[in-house]
Amino acid sequence: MSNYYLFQDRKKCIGCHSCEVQCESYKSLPSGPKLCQIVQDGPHVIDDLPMISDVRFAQGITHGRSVHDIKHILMSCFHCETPWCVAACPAGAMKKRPLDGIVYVDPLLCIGCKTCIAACPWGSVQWNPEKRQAVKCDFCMDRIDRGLKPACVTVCTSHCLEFGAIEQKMPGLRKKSLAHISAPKDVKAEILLEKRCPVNAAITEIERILDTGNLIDPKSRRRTEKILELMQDVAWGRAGSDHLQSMESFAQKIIKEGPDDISIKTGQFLELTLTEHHEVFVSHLQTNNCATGECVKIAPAPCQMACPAGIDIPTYVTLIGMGRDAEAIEVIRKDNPFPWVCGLVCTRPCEFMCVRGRIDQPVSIKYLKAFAAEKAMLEGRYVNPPKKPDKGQNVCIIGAGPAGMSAAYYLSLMGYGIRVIEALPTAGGMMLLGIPRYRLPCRIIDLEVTMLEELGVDFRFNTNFGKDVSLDSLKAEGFEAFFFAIGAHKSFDLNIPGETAQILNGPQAIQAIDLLRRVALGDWDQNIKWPGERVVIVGGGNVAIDAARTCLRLGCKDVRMAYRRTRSEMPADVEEVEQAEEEGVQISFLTIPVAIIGTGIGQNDRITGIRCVRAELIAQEGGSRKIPVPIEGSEYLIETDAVISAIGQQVDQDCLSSIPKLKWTRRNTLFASNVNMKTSVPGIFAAGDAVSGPATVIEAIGGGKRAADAIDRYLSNTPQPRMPPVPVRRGRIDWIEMSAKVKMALQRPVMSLLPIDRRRKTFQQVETGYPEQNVREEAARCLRCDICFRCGRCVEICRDKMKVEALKMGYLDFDRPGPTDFSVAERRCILCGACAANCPSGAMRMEDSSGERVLSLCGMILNRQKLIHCESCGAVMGTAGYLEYIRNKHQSVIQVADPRTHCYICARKTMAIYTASRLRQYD
Amino acid sequence: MGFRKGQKVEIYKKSADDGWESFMDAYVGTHGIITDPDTAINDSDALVEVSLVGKGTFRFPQDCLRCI
Repeated sequence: MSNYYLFQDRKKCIGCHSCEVQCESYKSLPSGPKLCQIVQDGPHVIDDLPMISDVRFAQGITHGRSVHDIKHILMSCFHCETPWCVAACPAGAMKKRPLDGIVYVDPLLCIGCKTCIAACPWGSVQWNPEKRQAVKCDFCMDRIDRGLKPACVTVCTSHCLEFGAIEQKMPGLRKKSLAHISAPKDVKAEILLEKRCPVNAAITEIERILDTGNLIDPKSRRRTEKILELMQDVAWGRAGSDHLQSMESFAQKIIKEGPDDISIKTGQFLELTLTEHHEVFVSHLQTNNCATGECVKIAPAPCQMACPAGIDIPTYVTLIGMGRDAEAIEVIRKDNPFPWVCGLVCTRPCEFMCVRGRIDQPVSIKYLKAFAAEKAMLEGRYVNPPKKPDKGQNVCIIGAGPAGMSAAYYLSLMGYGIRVIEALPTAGGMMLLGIPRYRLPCRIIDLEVTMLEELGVDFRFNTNFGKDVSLDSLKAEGFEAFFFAIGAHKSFDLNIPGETAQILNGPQAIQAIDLLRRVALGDWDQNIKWPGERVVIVGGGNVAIDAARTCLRLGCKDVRMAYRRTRSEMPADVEEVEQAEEEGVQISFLTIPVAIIGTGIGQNDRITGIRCVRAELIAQEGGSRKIPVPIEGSEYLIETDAVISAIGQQVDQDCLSSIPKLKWTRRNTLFASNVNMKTSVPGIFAAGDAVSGPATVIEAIGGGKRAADAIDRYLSNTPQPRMPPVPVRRGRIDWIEMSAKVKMALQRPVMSLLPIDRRRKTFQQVETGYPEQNVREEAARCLRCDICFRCGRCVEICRDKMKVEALKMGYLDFDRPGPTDFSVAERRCILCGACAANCPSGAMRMEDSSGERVLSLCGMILNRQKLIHCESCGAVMGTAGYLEYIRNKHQSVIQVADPRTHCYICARKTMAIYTASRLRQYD
Repeated sequence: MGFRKGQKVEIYKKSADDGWESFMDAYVGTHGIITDPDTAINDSDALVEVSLVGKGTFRFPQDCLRCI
């Protein structure tokens, strides 16, 4: 009971429903949960229980019955002294004001678990499906605090509703003090993050402006609401190309036509936001991704953000899981024209960031691409997208490596005429020269290059920039922009005695990249044993491993790597090192070469060995990094016929010496911004190893794609971006549904390899791939981080509010991931739905189907239980565990033997009939 | 090689190196994983590839990184 009464004079009530309408309107409840309801009762209803179904709610049912039979009963809330709803609420959202005893819902604390609804025996608490919160009559307490009457009373047309202080009407009725119920806590103002998304921040601010009610000019308010609607479209990734223009137009109208100061200020704020953060709005519109992750519906997945080319990984992985390989390839090629190549040789930064890796093993993203590409190719569905109309402008690309060909692909699709100049007789660059055929077969590169040729890209092989053509000659031919992707093909020297000896015949000191190039092009005399029976490769990176394994396949009997640190410091991929050792490559760790020894070095003779010293790792002063230090007197000789240097490559600057204005970094790489790949010379762009130094194929592809965008902007006089591009969301693919048990039981498949004896002798592809079944299952392991952005709200609600602790998801934390066990949900979850109600991205979902309530996270079914239905109307009431949970909560208020068996609507109806029967005595 | 593949790192300060670009200022304080250290040169001066959580993958000078 509260300090107030709300009485209804039923004789005066004409059933106009204006009280209900006002209640809906005042509380902004568009879908209409009502805080008060009016119930009709006919003459037969009260005493005749079988007629109970004839008692209908007043909303829209006054038709069809004779008017004189209708009675209307106001159903509000009793505001109990010890409310069941308050006792049941786990979040402290349902409160009773000590001041006047009003029971109300604090919307900031309500977690949407519906326990209050299930707990209230009178059906006074209702559900607002739009806000996903409980609502109830609180006598419009904000109006009471301002000295006004509740909204329903104010609008009652027949003056049948009476509201006032209970002490005046019935002194002494409210006896109990409820001072123990604490007053609502002050809600802290939202702390603005330093690096907020301007779209999200603007939405919050507009909502605040509208909520204050100060914007009273109807036109300005309507226009502001329209801008809010459009901005929400942007934040949800469903905006069209004209959204930004419409918002700007509305903002300008508000400024121009606003009759008061608040309207003009609002318009100015909106215009300033749209102008200052124009680039971010455009990025949201074009990419459907929010880089800050604040626009939760379009927060990008970590794997996609990690990919230097920004491929929409969750989308294509899911498509592969569904068996839609050609569509998956279509998605990949929007960001990477070489899915098959990358499926075999990518360094896969995406897998390092894969959230599944925090639980067990990351999804095998890399190989899934290769599988889909091969499958699509076999089906004849690996096709180029349509080109845009010819723009009549030409771009020249120097270098036919991954960066150059990526730029060629995207520029060609945009409608530019493309010529690619390549010094070698074939395309591929480092993909062809630096990666051995046992990792990347030549035919795969050829197939991908053919796709470019189909687009009309003009390849000019055996053409050296700086010798055969120059910048001026190309400009004279009509090229308006240039893209340098010349790679880093020049090896570092060992700088030890004997290295530069000129040996014309037989085994010699060679550079690893030169060895790989000559093997790739078949450029060696196959009648002689080359590079030798015994070889030593100096270095510990992937190129060193590739050189060693290539030597084995060339027939070298003794292949040894000399690396100056230990195994754990080796920069080469662990898998590559393991495979090399399996094949017979020996690795001498802590070994520093000091001289190449030969008979008559300097007199065109032959190498006989390499002199090395043992090293030990010593911690540097002031640093954690250990450096190899030679051990005195540890010199020894490794007998060998050839020494291969694999300690890194650099950019060959000679070919660009004719462009003196090109700026170089202190690392001898071309200076270019990583945002737009612009060099110091207007119209010249650069990317790939020439800019980054020796890096990865996927970085080069990403650079080529960025350069294509920048060249397009340059040629169309569009300003260049200030920040790197945000990866584009290419689709909204539904998730693959499966139980958590199955999903967690699936393990990353082991890659099958060619038998070891064949690996040693042939250049046949070593990794033979996964069977199709494994590919589909592996794709289904994806956690769909493009939908769930791991805010952890579900875990917090379940643990801190509901105190159920059914969600054990340690993988949510990047810095300190803990254990994850989805089976806990199966054991402990009561299916209250609070997690789903609070999930901002819709990843956590609770649905009722086939007599069961099912809780799932991105399609992964966490729990399913049978539903219990209302005994009267058959409506869903929840699960047994849920009702038991509420009953336990009630114990502090009242002992209940059995759980409630009626839904809140029937409880309300029953209560209305009871009230009507009691009141009938006084009629 | 100062960092190893798979190590978690933090961009804890700006760098004066010419490999540091102005857009990277926004990434100070963010965490990530080393996805490609200096694979060839074993040079403490080399740029290393880092995947930053929710930001992207870029090459940073080593002096602005620290392990977490």
